[in-house]
Amino acid sequence: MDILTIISNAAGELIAPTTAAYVLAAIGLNIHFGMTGLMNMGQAGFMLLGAYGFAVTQSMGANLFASICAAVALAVIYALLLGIPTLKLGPDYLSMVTLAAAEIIRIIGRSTSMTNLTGGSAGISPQDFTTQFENLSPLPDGSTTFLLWTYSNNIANSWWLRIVAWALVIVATLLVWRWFHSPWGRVLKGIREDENAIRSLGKNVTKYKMESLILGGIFGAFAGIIFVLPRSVQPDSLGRTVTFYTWTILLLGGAATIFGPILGSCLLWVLLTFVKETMRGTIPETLISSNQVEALGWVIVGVALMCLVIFRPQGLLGDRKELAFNA
Amino acid sequence: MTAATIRCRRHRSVLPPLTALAAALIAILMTLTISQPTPAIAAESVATCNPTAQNGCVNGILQDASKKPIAGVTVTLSGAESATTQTDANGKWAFSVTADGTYTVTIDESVAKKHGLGTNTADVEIVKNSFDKQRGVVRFDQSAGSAGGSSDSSNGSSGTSDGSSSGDDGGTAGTNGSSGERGSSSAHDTADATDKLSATLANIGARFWQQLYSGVIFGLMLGLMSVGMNLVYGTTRLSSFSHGEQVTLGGLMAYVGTQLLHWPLVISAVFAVAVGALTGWIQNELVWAPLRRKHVGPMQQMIVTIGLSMALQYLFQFFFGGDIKGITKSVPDSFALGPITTDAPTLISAGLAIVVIIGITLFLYKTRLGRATRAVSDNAALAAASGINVEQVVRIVWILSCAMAALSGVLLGIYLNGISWNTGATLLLLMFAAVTLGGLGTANGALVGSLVIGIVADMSSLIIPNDMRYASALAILIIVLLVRPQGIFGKAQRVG
Repeated sequence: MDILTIISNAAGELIAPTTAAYVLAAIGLNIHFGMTGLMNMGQAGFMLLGAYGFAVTQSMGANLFASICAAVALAVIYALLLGIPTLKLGPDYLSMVTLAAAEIIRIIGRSTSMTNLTGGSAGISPQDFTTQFENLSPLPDGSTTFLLWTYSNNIANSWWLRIVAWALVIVATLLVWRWFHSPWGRVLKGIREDENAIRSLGKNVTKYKMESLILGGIFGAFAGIIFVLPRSVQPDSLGRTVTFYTWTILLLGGAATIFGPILGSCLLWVLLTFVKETMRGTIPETLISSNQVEALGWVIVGVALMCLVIFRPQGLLGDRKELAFNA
Repeated sequence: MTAATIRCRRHRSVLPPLTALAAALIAILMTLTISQPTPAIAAESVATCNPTAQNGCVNGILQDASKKPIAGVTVTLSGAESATTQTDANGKWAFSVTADGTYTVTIDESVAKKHGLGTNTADVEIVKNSFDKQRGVVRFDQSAGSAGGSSDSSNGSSGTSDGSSSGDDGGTAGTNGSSGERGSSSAHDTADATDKLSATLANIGARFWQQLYSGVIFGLMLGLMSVGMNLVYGTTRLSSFSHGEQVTLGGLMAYVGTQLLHWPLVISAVFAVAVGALTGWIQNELVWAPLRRKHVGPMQQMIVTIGLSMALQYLFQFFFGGDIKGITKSVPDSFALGPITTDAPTLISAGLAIVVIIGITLFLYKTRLGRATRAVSDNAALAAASGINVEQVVRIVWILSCAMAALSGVLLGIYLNGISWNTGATLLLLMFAAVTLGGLGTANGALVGSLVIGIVADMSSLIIPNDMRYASALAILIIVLLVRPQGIFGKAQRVG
């Protein structure tokens, strides 16, 4: 494998829909954790629900808008269900409940008894839910080459999907920027720093936390939709590991920053792809097999996460004073 | 012996990779309830078949009793989808199927008679995304028990081994170590299976006791893990996500001992526990103690454990591969104990787990160090002020906790007949559930919580689909948090 292919593959991750999906998920998590200090360990649950809400209604023939509404509604209901019992409790409880709940969704989704609705562990294949989205594209058919990258215009992993995904990222970033500097955002930051102080000011802390959980969850649902559009809805591809990736991205870029999620996601995926492709290209298959390279990639992410939290908890862009994991 | 039907094994496995057993039971229930096969969709006959996310495979080699291939025989597939094909010159045939479900493979009866095959029909269950059920291998010749009269009672040789044998070429029915199934079905079970089919539904009472038993066994092993995890939480307020990897490490080290270094099992187990304890000590010295000195908060440390968990898990995969590693290769003889079928290693494991848990309890309540541990759990600052060396206590707790995790990994590996790189990770949530249920930071609570979780997880499969049983255990966690957030044994206090 020559160096140019490696670079172009790695650079391809820069604009890939999956990268954008992770940005959205991390933005949601940023609202939870960076703004409010909520330890949501089940962002993948929001993503999976969003993906199911979208794909199941699409495969039933609902129109695109209704499907997106369904995905958002599911995320809102889920956030309410999670939040009501746990937001009054300590941070340990929220993290465990979100983790467990995300796992429950995945287990139920992949159960054979749900095959009619969710397709079981095989999931929902793309032709069942991407057609309407692809038909919406104003781009002509065929494929386009732009700089290094050639993708189909409309089908599957397409330019159209990239445009929509990154447009969503821009909208989300603008919204978060507005929210961070709004009075509402300041209350959230206050809750993050000292919950009791805010409570003593007469604010309903639980209500603010709930709003934060819901808003972040909605971004999670959108992330889920973007995540599944270039592939299929497979419950196991949206498991715990996705949550952990999202945390790594958020902490890499810097929690409580506007551009942290974008930087984190792009950097993580480009670097990871680059490292993996380089290993595949240079180390002979007999020494380290392709599966082992994949595993090594994970080890790198894990070690990176540890080192980040230990040595630079504020991430690349963050402000150390602002992000004190106080809990 | 027309043992070409799927071997029915008693359900008692407790891990997702090992649900094949239970699924086999369900498959039998399905064959009972679904009398009319649904009309065919699209199965196709192919030369060779490789399972993917979109298709599963039913294949095999047709050969006579003396292993000579039989060419040109029509093989008919029916069930969820149907198709026909002819065996090629090597006797090979394969179908690619797209629907999950139970399939019946049939060859002409006269052919079977002519070549001395024991049967002309066999059932396999295909689940495309189940690693061990995406391919069903059918070999009619192996079911010919009459040929030598020897295969009727041997454990792994009957027929199709419900399509779960690692099976690339179909000749591997009976490798129970690598297929990760609990090879517990003795001749007794297999022989009884067909007779019991009709009684299975009515026989829910018998299953009740069996499920209760396996729930208790599973709960004990879970208890061994979560007591240690809870001690760590109690003394340091850290929910360790990497505790599952400590369990896996124990099992894998026992595998290294028995299978790679060819040590006896007991020595391997001691080795595994020693390695576990060592890792506990090392990680406390290298990671957690410095972090505590830097006053890094427990939430931040928790994210470090997530990173550690990911790194360790995939290091295991890197070194040991993705398949299931059997610690012992032999299959123990099972025997009936009242309404329960069990075997000696299971009972010994359970006994060992009980002994260790009692030992820990005695340690906590009867020794100076144990009392110091509880004091640190209650209030670390106060304990330090009264002259207890908190760091020393925490160090010992880490060592103990990781040693217990390793031991439970060994026992689990023996009980489940194998351990894989992600075994611990799949159990992590159940440990959390057990710990939270019992009460965060309370040592005995973790044991009770584990038993409840173990029993609920296994018993719930009587009512809800088997693949959802972990969900029920986790749902219990959420319900408990709603009703009694401090857990069963926790002290009520304002938590926010």
